Parts: sequence; structure tokens; C-alpha cells
Amino acid sequence: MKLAKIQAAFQASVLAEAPSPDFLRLLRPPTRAARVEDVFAVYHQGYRLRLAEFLAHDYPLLREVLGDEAFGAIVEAYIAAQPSPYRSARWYGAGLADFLRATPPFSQDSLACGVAALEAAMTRSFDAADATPLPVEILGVTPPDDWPRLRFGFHESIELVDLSAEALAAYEAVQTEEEAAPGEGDVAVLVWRQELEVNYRALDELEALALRELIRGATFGETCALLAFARPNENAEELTMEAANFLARWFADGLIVAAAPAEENLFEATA
Amino acid sequence: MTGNKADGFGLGLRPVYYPDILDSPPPVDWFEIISENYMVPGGRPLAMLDRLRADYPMRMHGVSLSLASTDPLDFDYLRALKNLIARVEPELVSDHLAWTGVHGLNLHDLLPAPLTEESLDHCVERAARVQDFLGRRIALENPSTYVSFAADEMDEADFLAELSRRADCLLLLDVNNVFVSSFNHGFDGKAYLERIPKDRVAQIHIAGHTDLPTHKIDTHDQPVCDEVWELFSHVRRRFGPIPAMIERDDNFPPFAELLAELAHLRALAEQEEAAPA
Repeated sequence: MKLAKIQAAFQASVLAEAPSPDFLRLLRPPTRAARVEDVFAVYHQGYRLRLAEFLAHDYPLLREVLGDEAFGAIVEAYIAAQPSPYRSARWYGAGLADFLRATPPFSQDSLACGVAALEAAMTRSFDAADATPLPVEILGVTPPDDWPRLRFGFHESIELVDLSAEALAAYEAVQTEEEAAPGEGDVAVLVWRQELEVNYRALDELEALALRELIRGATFGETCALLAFARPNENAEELTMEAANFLARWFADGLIVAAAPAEENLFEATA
Repeated sequence: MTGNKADGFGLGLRPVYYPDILDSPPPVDWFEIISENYMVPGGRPLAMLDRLRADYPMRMHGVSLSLASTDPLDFDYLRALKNLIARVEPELVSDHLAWTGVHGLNLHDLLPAPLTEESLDHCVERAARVQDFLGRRIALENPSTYVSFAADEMDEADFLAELSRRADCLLLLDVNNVFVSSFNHGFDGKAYLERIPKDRVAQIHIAGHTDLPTHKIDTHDQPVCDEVWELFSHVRRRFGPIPAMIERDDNFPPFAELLAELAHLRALAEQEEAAPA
């Protein structure tokens, strides 16, 4: 039998619930074990155990929030539904959060989906590309007239995760080992890495809106205009001040790695 | 041709030991990294790698080359590997005589290559292409295997000897894998070693495994057993001074215990050196 056929049959037998008798006939009888499937189990069971281990490593808090049984069911469903196309297990683990959001009945479980999304974001942020944060002093040397035209580049480690407040509370409860505060509705959580440490914090609606807009590539002026549009009953100047305060904090947190006035023609094209 | 014959005793670098290593730089001649652990965009893994590389020589050991697979070579992977090689400037780059999947999938395991002429031709051609692309020789490790194929036409030692000769590549001799596979398939480990060409072996791996009544599994989660130490002494007598290291990948003991194992490895090697020829 040709190499490609042997490998295809081997892989199919690892992925199947049980190895096929046709494939097992391609193997030599084992030296000591009674049946060849007893030694093939090293590959067959090992595959499931190894992937489950990767997932337990990547989602320790999800496991703690849900308990071993419910977490085990999720892991089993994911492994059965989705073999890994990734050369690194790191990327296989990252796919669990997307799988939960897309797959009933897990997609109905906002607690599991939310905690998984947050842990996946923390993992991505952990080894995202490095970049040197820009010092806030750059704003001091920017003429006030240029501020509305400023665009910013953000650190690759930034993740904005929408999850239920209940999921965030559960995540924090297992981290701090304190009772979960009751939460309602959804919340946006910012995940980012400063130096080598991954941080997270919940954003209020206005800050989340401003950050999303700037990450999308809008200028500071466009962002302030959006905030004024979103909050028609609030004072536009105060909203601009608030946006400036957000910006100062993002600089302090190392989120911003580039800033430059938008090109005149670019600005006009998007205005 | 020769491998890297500089002597030395190393450890597999694992993140769990970063604090120990930083607190008190250990008497380790070099570290071996798992290449894939550092094929990431940035953050702590690469920061730690650069920091430790400043103090220690390093060797790179991969698990995803999938040399024996009938899928096309993954040049995205090879480019990432080449970039990492440029960063680390390792003394040796190695992977396994194994495959990890076909049809675009990865079973995240080192699967056994059928030991056929067709498989040998395939591995020779791919090893040569990988070496051309990387611009350097690689070493291929003898795997632990649990099944063998009815289609096999040669023994693993002969396959590796021929592969290294025809592809002009090096070999990484894993002594524990010889022990595990010799038990699992009922062959004589020392006879196997006799057929491994001396001038191709560039590095030695030593590790622990799990014993089951009918087979042994290469788990790297136990101390090295007496039989493997004994086989290492035999290897040292046959192959002479070749860089050797201990791999530990699970059930991690305190770092001091691993250093004690490494000291034992060193002592055994020195004992063989002092022994009359």
C-alpha cells in the first residue's frame, strides 16, 4: 500500500470513534498486548487527551466557572467537531471561544461564551506582536489645531471583548476567589498587554465607542463627532474633554504606539 | 563529515522553570527550546528567549516539521522556523522522523513513518529540501513508536542510517526512545545502536517514560529510569562525547531535581571517559 493511503487511513482511524478493522490489518501484531488496538490506543486516546490538555491549559477559569463536567462536555464536543488545522496547539485553543459562540446549545450559554471569549482574548494578547508605546508628551507638542486630525496606531495586543456582565463577574470571582457580584446586560472589556503583563478592564459605553472608532481608523475629531451624535443631550465640549481624558489614559496604559495628523486629502476623503 | 562534537550537557527549556533560571543561573551548558513555543508574534515568550539566549547557547528542537507526511512541505512554517533560527543562532536545529497529519490537519502527535523504500525516498527528498531552504543541516530524531506496519521493509535504525546518508542530514539520538521502542517492538536496543552511524549523531536526548504492562509510553513525565541510564553509558562508549540533555515535559519536579539528574548524566559521561578503552 502506498504511503499516502497508509497515512490517510491512520489519521482517519485516530479521528474516528474507533479505528477501522481495515486499517488495523495494516499494522503488525503487537509484541505483548493482546490486540493491536490496545497499542494503537496510544495514538487514538492520546489525541483526545492531548487536545483536552491544551484546552484545560488555555481555559483554566472557564473550567473553574463551569466545573469539570460541563467543561469536559464542551471540550469533547469541540474536539469531535473540529480537528486541528494548526501547526501549533495555541491556535487550536484559541478557536474554542468561536466554536462556543457558533454552536448550539453552547451558543445559548452566555456565561460559558463570555468567559471563554475573555480567556481567548487574554491568550492572544499574551504573545501578540511587540511595539513601543508612544509617550503622552507627543500630545503636548501637537498644535491644538492638529488634534482633530490626529489618527492613532494601537498596540497589537489590544482586544475588545463583548460579554455578559454575568460572565465578567464570574471570571473575576474565580480570579479573586470572592463572591461574584450580580451583573446585568452586556459589557465591553478591554484586554491589553503592558510590558509583558496582560491586563483587562471593563469600559463604559462611551469609552468603548471612542476606542472602537479610533481603532477603526477615525480621527480624533471624527470620534468626538460620533460621541456627540451618540449623546445628543450632552454638552459636546464636555464630551470632547472626556474623549481627551480617555486618550490620556490610553497613553498611560501603553495602548497607543503611533500618532500622526491624517493626510489632508485622506481627511477630506473620509470627512 | 561531522556533527557538532563539542561536548556539553543541556536541559530542555520550559516556561515553568523561568523563575528558577532567572533567580539563580544554573550550571547548564546550553538549553534546548521547543521551536514552536517561540514562533509567536511577541510578548513574554520571545522576551524570555532573548534574555536567556544572552547567557546560554541554545539548540532548537521542533515538533511540527512533519517530515514523513505526504502533505506538501509547509513553507509558512519553514519561513517562521528560519526567522527563529536567525534570532536564536542555535548550535543545532532538529525535528523528528515522524509525521503529524495529512489533508491539512495536525494530530499534534509524532506519528510513526512506515519504514518502506517509498517512505525513505520521500523523507530523503524532503529533508534535503528543508536543509536547502534553511541553509543548514538539520538533525532528525528517532521517535518512540507504539505500532509498526505490515508494509515495513526495513528496521528503523537502517532507515535512519540511510536517510542521514542520502539526505546528508544529522541524527538526534533519543536514548529513551530507543529503550521504549525496543520494548514495544521487541528488538535489541544495543543492536539498534550498532547500526546508527557514529559520524551522524549530533545530539543525545534522555528522558523518562511511563511503564504499562504491555508497552511503554514516551511521556517525559518521570525521572530517567536505570535502564535508560545504562543505555546512555553504552551510547557514550560507542559514540563518544556528544552534547546530551534531559527532556522533561510534564509532572515537573522542583528545578533542583532536574539539575541533579543532569549532574548524574554528566557524571556518567565522565565515568565513561575515565574508563580504560
